[in-house]
Formats: sequence, C-alpha cells, structure tokens
Amino acid sequence: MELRSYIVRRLLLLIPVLFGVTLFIFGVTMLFSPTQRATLYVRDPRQLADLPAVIELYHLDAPFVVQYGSWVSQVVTGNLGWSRIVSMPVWEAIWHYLPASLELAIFATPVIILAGIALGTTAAAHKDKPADHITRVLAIFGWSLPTFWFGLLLLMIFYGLFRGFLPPGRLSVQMDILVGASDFIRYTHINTLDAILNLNGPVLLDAIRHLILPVITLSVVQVAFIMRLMRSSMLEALGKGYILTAKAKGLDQRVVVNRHARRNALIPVITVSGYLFAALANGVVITETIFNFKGMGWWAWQAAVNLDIPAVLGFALFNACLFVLVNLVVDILYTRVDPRVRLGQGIQ
Amino acid sequence: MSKRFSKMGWIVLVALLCLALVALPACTTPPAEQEEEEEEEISIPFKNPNEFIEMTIGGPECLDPAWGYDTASGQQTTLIYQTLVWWDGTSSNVKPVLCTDYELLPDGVTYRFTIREGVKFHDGGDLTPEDVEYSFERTLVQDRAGGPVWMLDEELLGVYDSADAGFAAIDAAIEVDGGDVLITLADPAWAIPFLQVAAGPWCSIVDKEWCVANGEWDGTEATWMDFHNPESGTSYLWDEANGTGPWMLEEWDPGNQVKLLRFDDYWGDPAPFERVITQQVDEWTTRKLAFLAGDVDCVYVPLTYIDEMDGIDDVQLIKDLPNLTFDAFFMTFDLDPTSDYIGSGQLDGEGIPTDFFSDIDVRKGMNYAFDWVTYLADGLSGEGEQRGSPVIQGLTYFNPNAKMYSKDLDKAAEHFQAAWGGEVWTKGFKFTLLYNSGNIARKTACSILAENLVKINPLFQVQLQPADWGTVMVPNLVTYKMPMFQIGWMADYPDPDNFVYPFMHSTGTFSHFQGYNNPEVDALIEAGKLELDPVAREAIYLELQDWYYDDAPGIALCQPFARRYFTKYISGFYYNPMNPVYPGPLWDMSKSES
Amino acid sequence: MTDFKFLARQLLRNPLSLMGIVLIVIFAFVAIFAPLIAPPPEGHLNPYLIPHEGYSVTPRPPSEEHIFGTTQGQYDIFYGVIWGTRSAFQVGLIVIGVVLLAGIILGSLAGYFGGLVDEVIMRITDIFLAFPGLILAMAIVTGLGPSLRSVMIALASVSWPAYARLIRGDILQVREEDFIEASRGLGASNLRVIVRHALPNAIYPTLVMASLDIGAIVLAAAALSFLGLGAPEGYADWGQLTSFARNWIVGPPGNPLKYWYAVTIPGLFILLFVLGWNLLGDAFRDILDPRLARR
Repeated sequence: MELRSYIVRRLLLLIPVLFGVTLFIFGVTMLFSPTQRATLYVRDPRQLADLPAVIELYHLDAPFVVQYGSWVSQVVTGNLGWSRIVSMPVWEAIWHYLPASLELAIFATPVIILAGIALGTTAAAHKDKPADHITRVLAIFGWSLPTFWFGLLLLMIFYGLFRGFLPPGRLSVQMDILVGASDFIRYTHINTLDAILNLNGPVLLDAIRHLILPVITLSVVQVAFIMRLMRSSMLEALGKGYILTAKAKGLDQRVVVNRHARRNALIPVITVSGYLFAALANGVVITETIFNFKGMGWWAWQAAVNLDIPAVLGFALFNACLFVLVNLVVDILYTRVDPRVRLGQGIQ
Repeated sequence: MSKRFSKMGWIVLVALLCLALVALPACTTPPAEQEEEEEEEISIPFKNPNEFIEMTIGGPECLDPAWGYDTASGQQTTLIYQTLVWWDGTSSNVKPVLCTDYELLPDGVTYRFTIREGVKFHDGGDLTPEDVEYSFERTLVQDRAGGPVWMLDEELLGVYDSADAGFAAIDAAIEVDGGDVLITLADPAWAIPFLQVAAGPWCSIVDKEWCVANGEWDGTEATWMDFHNPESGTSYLWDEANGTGPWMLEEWDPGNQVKLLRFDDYWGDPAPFERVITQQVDEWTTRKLAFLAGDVDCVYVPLTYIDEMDGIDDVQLIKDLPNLTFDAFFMTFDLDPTSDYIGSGQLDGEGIPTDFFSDIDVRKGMNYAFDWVTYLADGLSGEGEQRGSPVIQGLTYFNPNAKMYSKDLDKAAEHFQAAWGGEVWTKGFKFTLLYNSGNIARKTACSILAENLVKINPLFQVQLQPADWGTVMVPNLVTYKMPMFQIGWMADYPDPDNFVYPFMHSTGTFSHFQGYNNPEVDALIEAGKLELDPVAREAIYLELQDWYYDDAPGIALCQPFARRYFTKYISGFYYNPMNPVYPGPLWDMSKSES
Repeated sequence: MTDFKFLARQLLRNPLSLMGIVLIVIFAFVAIFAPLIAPPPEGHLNPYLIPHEGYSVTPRPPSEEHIFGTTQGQYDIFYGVIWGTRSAFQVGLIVIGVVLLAGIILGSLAGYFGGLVDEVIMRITDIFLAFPGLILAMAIVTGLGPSLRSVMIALASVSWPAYARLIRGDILQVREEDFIEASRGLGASNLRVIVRHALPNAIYPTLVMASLDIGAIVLAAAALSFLGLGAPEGYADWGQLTSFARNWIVGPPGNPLKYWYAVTIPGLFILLFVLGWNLLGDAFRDILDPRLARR
C-alpha cells in the first residue's frame, strides 16, 4: 500500500475515534446533575445562593444533545471552551502545560530505554543465573514501588538532607526571573531547549538540576517494562538459527550478543518507546505533583476531580490525537526496521 | 547442588523478609528514646534577598477586582490595586489612602472623598476622580452571579442585583464633583459598614482610560447590559492588571505562581521587596522542605502538621491570631423525604422524620452531646475558641460572657427523653452525617457527636460518610437532604450583621438551607441592620447572641485562630483582625539577614 | 492435562516463581485468617473499619497495644494491613475476574465471527484505549463517589479493552488451525468450538497478563487512594493507609524518619503483594511463551 494513502487513511480514521471518545466522556459527565456541575463555578459556601443563576448562565440544564451539539460546533470553529480550574481557554491550557510534560518525556524516555536495554541484555545473556534473577527482581521491585513514596523519599534525601541540592520545581527563583526577563526569548517554554537556543549556560544547568529527581523517579518505576521486553526479545533472537551459526563459526560471545542479537531484539523496544514517550507526554500526575513540575498530568487530574468538563474533553481530544499519531509513526517505523512487514497488514 | 541451594536460598530470603517485617517494630523503641538528645540545630539559609516568596495551596481565580471573591484573588488584588481607604495599622478604623480626606455629609447618606493627586497607575496614567467613579460603577455594572458585589448593591442601591436598580440609580450613586467624588448610600445605617466595604479588594480603583481602551465597558448607559453578569474570563482585567499599588503584575502562571514587580513610580513609600512571588504547591511535604531549605519566606502549614514545625529556632511562628471566621453545625428543620441520609424517614429507630430537628429538645440534646474540649484539642489542634453564636470576637458587640453549651451527657439524655413526646428515647433514630473528605476538623466534629450519642442511648445510631464538596455535599445541601451540615463563614466586612444574617435569618445564605424561620429573630436582624443608635444596636445584637443559645438552630462550633509561619529573616508583621490579609501587610514588612 | 502438570512443575522449579507463590500463599493465609490474627474489638459493626482510640492526628510509634503503631487519626496500622490484605485480594481478583470475563466474551465474539461484529467491538476498544486510563478512572470515581466499589468499577472499565484485544488476537491465530476446522466439519456448534477448542489454546498469554495485572490493579487502586479517590478514610485498605502516610513521609527536621512505620509498613505490604504476583506472572510468561525454546 502506498505510504501517502496509508497515512491519509489512518488520519481519517481519527475522526470517528474523536467523536467516540468525546461522546463517551460527555455521556459520563451527563451522569452528574446540573447542580453538581455548577459547583465548579461555586467553590465558596457563600455563593450557594447563586447556584441557580450559574446553572442558567452556563446552560447546564439543557438536554444532552443540545449541550454536546453546542460543544461540537464550538470545537469545529476552534474554540475548545474555558478551563475553569486554570482560568484560561482550554487550548491555551494545553499549550501552557504541554512543555513541562514534553520536557520530562524527552529526558526520561532515553534514560528508561537505555537502562531497560542494558538490564534486559544482561538478564538475557545470563539467563537463569544469579545475574538474571537479581536484575529481574530489582526491576520488578522498582515497578512495584509506589511512586509517591519513592519520590518523596528522594526529595527528603536530596533536597532536605543535602540542603537543597536537588530542588523541586522547574527552575530556581533567580533563574525564573532571568527567564522571564525581556532579553531571554522563550521559544518553546521547554526550559532546557530554550536555554540552549538562548546560549544561556546557567539556566540550562539549573533546568537540568531540577529534572534529575523527577526523571529518576519515573525511570525506576518504568524501567521494568522495557527490561522485560528486551529480555524476552533478546532470548528469542538468541535462539535463532543465524546466531547458532555465528557461534558455530567461533565468534566471540559478546560480539554475538551485542552486534547480532541485540539489533534484532530492539525492534519491539522501538515500538514500545513510542507509547512510552506518549504516555509521559500525557502527564504523570503524582510525579508532577510531588516535584512541583506541573504539566498535562496535573492539569488533567485537577480537571477530572473538579468536573471541569471542557478541560476533560480538551484533554481527551489531545490524547486521542496523540495516540493515533504515535500509532501511525510506530507502524511506519516498524516497516522501515523490519523489511518483512508490509503496511496495511495487521501487526500484533 | 547449586540449583538446590539457590532454590532453598530464595525461600529462606523470603522467610527472612517476612520475619523482618514483624521484628523491625520491636527495634524502634530505642530511637524513640534517643530522640530527646538528638535535637539537631536546623538552620534555614538566607536566600533571595530581594524577593518575598510565599508557598501556599490554591491560586487566584482571577485578577479582576470586581470579580474575585476568593481569598487568593483578594491577596493579589490587595498588593496590585488600592482602595479609597484602608485599615489604620491594627485599629478598627480606616485611614485615607487614595483619598486625602473623607467626610459624611449632614444628610447622613452621602460621603465626600477628596481624591489624592499625583498618583500614577502602573501603565502610566494618572489617578483622577473619574477613575474612582468609573471603578465603582464598573463594579456595580459587572455584578457577576456568585460575586462580592452584593454588598455594594445592598449599601448603595438597596437591591440584591444591580439590574433590578437600573442604570440611572447606578449612575446617581457615584458622582464627580471637582476633585471630589460623592458616594450616596441607600440608607443612613450603612455609614460605617460602607467604609469597611470600601476597604475591600472589590472596591479597588482602576484606570478608566486604560479599561475603555482595552475593550471594557465605556461608562455609558448604552452598553452597560453587555457587561452585566459576564461569563468567566471575558473581562480584560481577568489576567491583566493596572493599579496604583506598590507592586505591579509581572506574570501570572495559573496553577504555578504569581510574580509581582516593584512599581518605581509608586506615590507612597517604596515597596520593600523588588518582587513578591506567590507559589502554588499543594503537596505539604514539598512545601515544608522548601521552607526549611530557605527557598521560601512564608509557608502555609495545615493545622494537622503544626507540631512538625515546633522547636526550630529559625522559624518565626505567630499564632493565636483571631480569624474573623465562624464555624457551625446546622440542623435542617424541613428535610426532603427523598434524602438518602434519613434512613426510613420515620421515627421508628431506623431513620428520622423530615421535621426531626424542629423539636427544640432534639436540638438542645445535640448541643449537650457535643464535646468542645476534645473538638478544639484534637480537631483543631488547639487553634480556636468556642463561641456561643455567630457574633465572634473582633466584631462590635461581641459578648465574651455569652451563654454557651458544654458537654453534659446527662442533660442531653434529659432533653432527648422529652423530645417528641418521649418517642425519640424509646425508639431511637438513625441518620447519616456527611463531612468534607480530608477535613479533619469537620470529621472530628462528626465523630464526637456520633460517638457521644451512642453513649447516651445505644439506639441513637449516626453513621459518618466522607463526601466531596462539589459532587455530593452541595447538591444535597441546596435540596435540603442533609440532616446536619457544617459550614463556616469568613467576614466580608467586620460588622456583626455580616455574620448574623447568614446564620440566623430565614433568607440567610446558610440558615435558608436549614429551613430555619423564626419571625422574631428575622425582625431583630432587620432592625439591627439599619439601627443608627449604637446603644439600641448593641442591645439588639446582645439579644441575638442569646437567641442563638436559646433557640439552638445549630451547634455553634468555634472561632478558629490563624497562624503565620515566616523565616526569622522577615520582620514588620502585624495583624489587624478587621482585615486578615494573608500573609501580612507586605508593604510594611522587610527581609534581612541580620 | 499433561500441559497443566508440566506448567506446575516448571513453576515450582523456577526460584523466582517459587518466591512469588510463597508470597501469595502467605498473603492468602493472612487474608483468610484475618479475624483471628487481628480480631475486631467488641461491638465493632464493620470489621473493615479500622478501630481508633481518640482523634489525635499525629501517628504514634509501635508499642505493646499497637504492634505496628498508629497512623494519622490513631488508626491501628496492624489491624489495617491485616484486613487490608482482604481488600487487596478483593480488588485484585474481582477486577481481573470481571475484566477477564468481559474480555473473553467480547474478544471471542470479535475474533471468531470477524466482520461487522469485529469492527464494532474493535472501535469501542479503540475509544477506551485512546483515553488515558488513570484520568478516566478518576472521573468515574469522582462521579460515583469515592469508595472501594467505585474504584473497582473504574479500574474494570479502564482495563477490559486490552484483554478483549488480546483474546481476539489469539482467537484469530487459533481460528485457522486444523483442529478447529475438523471439529466444525464434525458439526460442532460455534459456542462449543469457541469454548472447548479455541479458548483453551488461546488463553495462556491472557493468564500471563492477568496475573501480572493483579499487581498493577492493586497499585492503581493505591494510587487512586493516594489522590483521595479510593476507599473512605478509616477503611482497611493499603492504599488508604499509604494516603494517610503521605504527609508523614518526612518528619520533623531533627528526625525526618520519625514516622517511618506509618509509611513503610503499608508500603511494604503493597510492595510484597505486587512483587509476588509479578514474579508469578513473569514466570508464567517464561514458561508459556511459545517463542522461547522449552528446556
């Protein structure tokens, strides 16, 4: 199947998915009564008497079809609505909170992937020996660790005990002032990238310093997946015919593992990397909350528990688009990497 | 051999792990004893000499002074904008700020404010009397649902919604006269309360030219309804600010922080800090670590964790600050029969009838069953005092000797035996109490009541249920489905009417949802609101305080106290109970290493 | 039959899976005998509500009456973790049970019949998968009111699509096998074919995922409790206990690990429980994965 028409077909499939997702969420939110949804605007007990006025103002008691219809017509004209919890339009909120999540994703994904590959390879190369067991138990241990526990402990040690060495937040106060000044241009709002583009060393170092703890927290928890995947695909690759041939020819064990088996074993890992990046970009609520690194996860969580419906819907749209896009990119990459696979055929 | 070992080895490892789980607690007693000698000296480093940094929970809803009713918004507005008058130090009087003088004219309803000259706005404009007129009129025009403008509506127009008064009335209420502004009240009784309201953030003065140039209401009758009761976020001042205050808005990053920058052309004394940064961090541990690391100067400490901040020299703790807040337990007189929380809905031991609380003996029984000592000690960690009625300390006519209930299970039993012709005692009752999940004080209050009731008579069964404010409590509250609910009120302005009304009047914000309707009390409240003679007024409010005890529409819980946590490097803090600014009067404070 | 015996033998030989089994058996033991190990006090109505002495907020260290100490609000930690084992099993097994059932039914229908049925079911799973699970779960729990039941409903709603997909994929693979054709040729009904022939061969990878997921479900429930959306306060649930501990992880500056027991003990229980299921699931995978050479 031709690449261009394949991409077009996949992107067109996005539309029914978007409709489905938003209809579903709208349906869930309609389970709440107008009064419940009005409390988004009335958080203070003093304003209780004004509930009916609020319901009327925001048309919260109109029938489902009318409300969904008006939301869809708004979206089509580019208006995603107003996110009450962060006091800004939904599309602006996405722009606002995405850079932090992207920054975390950009730094955490390579760490997780590389660590996972290294651990998985070691485990596979020494299958059923102590190194294998220890590596697997350690990785699973990391995955079973509650994120908040580990994160707060790290903060206590590296920020509390070590006198502010690795602080929470995205930037320290003085660097933040610098970044907000007129001679620093914020191209992407991703602090590390902006620092590089502005050729500003101190800001870059400060941003990295603030990234260390959240990235470690995320990595320890996620590395197990990659490790396990790498291990099983390495084992599969090591069992293949050409490996036995290489060994029979007398090639060094390490060369066999590193050059031949690993390259082929990497394929499923690449697949998963895409999803990992997307998941991280979507936001990781607990890490963002503990380390005051507010991104999409924090915003989506606040939206969900406060019934900020326009925000939830906006987040759902963004997420669905990201999901479809990542799927598409991964599928195409897959065909590039593994010549046996053709576009359009089912890939399980 | 090796394989068997590794298998055995793992089993042994797992067994050891489980044993450790049980054995570890036994080893903890020694560290607990060592604790006393290990009092490490924690020193908080001095950082950021030019900035005042505060870390707290929650953030402002918006920066529009006419819109914001939440404390976080008010906090920022008070630093960016200014009002005609402001509280004089720690006294209960106001002093002129953006005016140089004010007087009440002989007609008793008109105030003349002489506007200060030489005041600049952040954007460069000059303060004129027209700006003052526009600011008040704009606020009355906007009057958004659920906002603070009802106070001005009531005091200047005599209505609840400015649309009911019409533009002519709004226009006439504030007029410019040369270098003065004349503000006309709806009733002479508002003379003093108006000055208190005028010191509130909702009476901030904005720059008319700047507003109009940026698309706000142009000041004419033709367009005023377009700007009345707008939707969230539509006003230009929502996230843009231009005031006369010592700091101007540098950046508002919703959810993260607000940064204010010193305004160099400020008409008064230069601002002591180059920047004021308010950071929003909801995670307590992160806030605490930041405070101890010296990265913030002021931190919000939830009641539950005040013990953790004890004994650290470099922490400056200011406590027992009487908050103008009052918390009470309300009893609903006329419940909705479809409520999920009244059990069977009958007086049969499996529920309560819808008019259960209309019997005064039931209400008094509940009051005697409550234990204030435990509530204040455990629920509020000692940070509060019992009050007998909504008229609390700090309000005029507060009666420190007012009658108050105290725990007396025998008296409670007597009242319950008398209630509903003795049926309550023999049949018992069952209902559910809801409390805001995560709110320890409210949960403790419910627990105390439930557990004491069961002690009085095992047939008195009360179940507790945590509930989310928005999705559960509010819808049930406004539909009369909650048998009892706890709510607090924070002062808008320090007049007893502002407190008595929501708690005791039949149309009061809270008492309305109780279904409390006592015509004598209503009459007293209405009389007290407009009474000019201070002696007569005092008599009315003393009587109302007694009424709360005698009629017991609810259980008067407490007046909580506030605390402030600063580092030792901050000085100049003072507290005016009339207007508890958080974190403090920053324009009079300073920060230095010595 | 022989397959099952082979499977069991492999599990017991592998040290990691053995460790996993041992852990799970210990927890099951604790859950079953909870009323004996931590008897509820006299007159206590609901054994899942942890008894508390007083209302004081600060946790107290382990002592004679409270072996593991008390957590915020004076709830006994020992009682909480013992009865919490029951809650953990409840949540894990019920959610996975429901999800497996839904996944099997929908996945089999989609895989076996193909065509329109397949398309519809797959698009529905697409919609669920396109939305981040935790956020959807949060919204559902918020709507239904925080309780263990809502958590189970939310997690089940979010997890079933992956299983439906998995079963469908396996059925698709198995569908073309000879023995399926043979039994159809012999006149077996569709249902019989699915249940007696297709499923048993397709089910193993699903079992792998299910056993791994029990741990994930319990962790997700704990995360929801941490965010305030789990079992109500005072309920015997590990996630609830750790959420109490959230603000005591770092104690007073002179003694930051002062309240370690409030944090570590419930955390350890979660960790070991999840570890046990993970090891078991990992071992399943190693043994059942047809791509790996069997020893």
